[in-house]
Amino acid sequence: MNRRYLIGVVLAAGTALWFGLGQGSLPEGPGRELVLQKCQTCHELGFVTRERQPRERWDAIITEMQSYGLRLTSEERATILNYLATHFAPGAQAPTPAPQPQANVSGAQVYNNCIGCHQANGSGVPGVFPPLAGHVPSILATRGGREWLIQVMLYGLQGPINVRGSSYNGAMPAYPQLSDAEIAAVLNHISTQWGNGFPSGQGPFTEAEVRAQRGKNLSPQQVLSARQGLGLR
Amino acid sequence: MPRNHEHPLSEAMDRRLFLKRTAVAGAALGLMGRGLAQQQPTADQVVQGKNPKLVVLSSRPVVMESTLELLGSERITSKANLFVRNNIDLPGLNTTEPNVQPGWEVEITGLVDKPFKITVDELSKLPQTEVTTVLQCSGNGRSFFNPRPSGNPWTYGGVGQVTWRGVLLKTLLEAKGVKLDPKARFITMNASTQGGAQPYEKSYPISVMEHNSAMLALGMNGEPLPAVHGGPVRLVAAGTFGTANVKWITKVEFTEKESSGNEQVPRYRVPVLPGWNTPILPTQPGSRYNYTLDNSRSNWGANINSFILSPLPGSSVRGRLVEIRGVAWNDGLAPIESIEVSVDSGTTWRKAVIEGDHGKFGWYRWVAPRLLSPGEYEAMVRATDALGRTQPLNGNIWWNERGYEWNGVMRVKFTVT
Repeated sequence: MNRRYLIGVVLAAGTALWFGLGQGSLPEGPGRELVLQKCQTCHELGFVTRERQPRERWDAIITEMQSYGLRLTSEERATILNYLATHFAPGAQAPTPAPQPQANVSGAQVYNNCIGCHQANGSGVPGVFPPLAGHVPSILATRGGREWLIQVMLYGLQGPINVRGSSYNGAMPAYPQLSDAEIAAVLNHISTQWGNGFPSGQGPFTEAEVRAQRGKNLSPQQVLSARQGLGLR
Repeated sequence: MPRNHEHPLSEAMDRRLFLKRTAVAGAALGLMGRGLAQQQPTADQVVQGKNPKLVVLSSRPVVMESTLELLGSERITSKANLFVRNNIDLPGLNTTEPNVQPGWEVEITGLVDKPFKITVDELSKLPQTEVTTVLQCSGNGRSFFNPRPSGNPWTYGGVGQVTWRGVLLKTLLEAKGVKLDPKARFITMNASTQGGAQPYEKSYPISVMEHNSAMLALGMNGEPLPAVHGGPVRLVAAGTFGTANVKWITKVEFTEKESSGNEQVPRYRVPVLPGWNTPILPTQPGSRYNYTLDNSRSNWGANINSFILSPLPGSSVRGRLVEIRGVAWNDGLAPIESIEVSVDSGTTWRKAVIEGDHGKFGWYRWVAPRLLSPGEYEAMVRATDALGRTQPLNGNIWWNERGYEWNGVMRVKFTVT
């Protein structure tokens, strides 16, 4: 009986884990990248992944989002609608968590989470979303800049900042749901794209570096204060 | 594996071994729990000063609900325990600290003879009024609708009772000697767009000035209004759902028509048949509804509701005397007269004792003492006001596409030992 009880406990825990992971994750399929790119500009992905709606309701929801400023080509719209109506239909199971990515995580793929705000070319949107192109190297060059970039990914950033002469006063969401490998990969991506590069003497981000910043439970405001301590010019 | 082999093994597993093994399983659970917690940040990480026991439904925009246990732990819901439903987060304001901006301006405009602007500092020098109200998200209880409508999956925690302090709109217009145009039928309000925030616009019927103590609130629970709850200034109308209690208000416009913006239609509405005497037009659960200003109404006045706050669902309590306790409230138009409690799944009902209230817009606190033998029970509560308005036994009768205004009779299972 005790053994059965134990099995029950472990199964329940497993189910909880399964379900929990499923909440924030999107199943593979055409349209997944578009959802990552488009929907997170204004709200977290949970607004998508927790829903189970029929196609016509998803259609109406997309229309409503367009009225809030979501810009889609008609092809993109059809792809997103198909994706949502397929994977988030009534009765659909929580998405299978993607296998924990190991060695070959593509930073470019993870960067799909970022495109909605920072743009494919890393330019951001002047006055609204700060650029990564030309800016990331200056952060890397500061003392503590590497750790701080990891903290922005894990805990978000909120409040007024100044980047290359423009001021921004928005919020960067936290991405604790990404694995250490994914965060290292995306940071390596933004550190080496669009003419960016690591300062001499610095190598790529490692999973261990990311792991070391987890569990600090910083608030986005604390991450903002930490930025002020970097001495960015 | 033969039974006779299995059996002795489990017999042989002594208490110590059992504890050891469950400890391992428990540790595994703990680790997993940690993993999950990292994914969804806790309430205090999302909004500085919030009780980590609040349940985060979204960290961006901020949506978090309180719990029955927390609601039952205090008469006035503290700022740490009060739910948050932001449609738009204003940068830097995810904190329960005040948002000190004495120069913040509110524009009073539209169908008035002399439009004007007033600062928070000037507002604070006008006569102040206090009102205790039940603040509730109109989506509270959404997760009990079946099939579940789209939207935040609120259970019971999108509610709280708070005391507002501020300047009545009536007082403000009088103090400024400003007259309303008789054509003014609605109040349309806008939240700040500072920091590049999206606009948020809502309308109230102008009657909230007369019946709902509509005010520009500067304080909550005896303190300056917390930033996350709309500080420095928020429009509050007692007895209404939270959605049109616009936070961070910058404009109050008197208008002939209600806003046609997204927040006014199709959002925050329930179907109605104009002229028919039913609060919500019943629609087929799961069906679609094409909301217009004419075939639906806004979530304005709160509907009558009651919650059991003790015993908590799934809890065990000592018998035989069990005090079932909770709260009831409505829109304040007429007093709540009767609160009935059943402990046999609705077969028999007995009146609870109303212990006290917090004014007509606040919670009526009630208690139903029962002598209960050990066993399993299901308690239910139903409030009725002097107008005969009450709660449906099956809340799903008012299923609506967007899942608003749930007030089905609450059921709580508990064990008496």
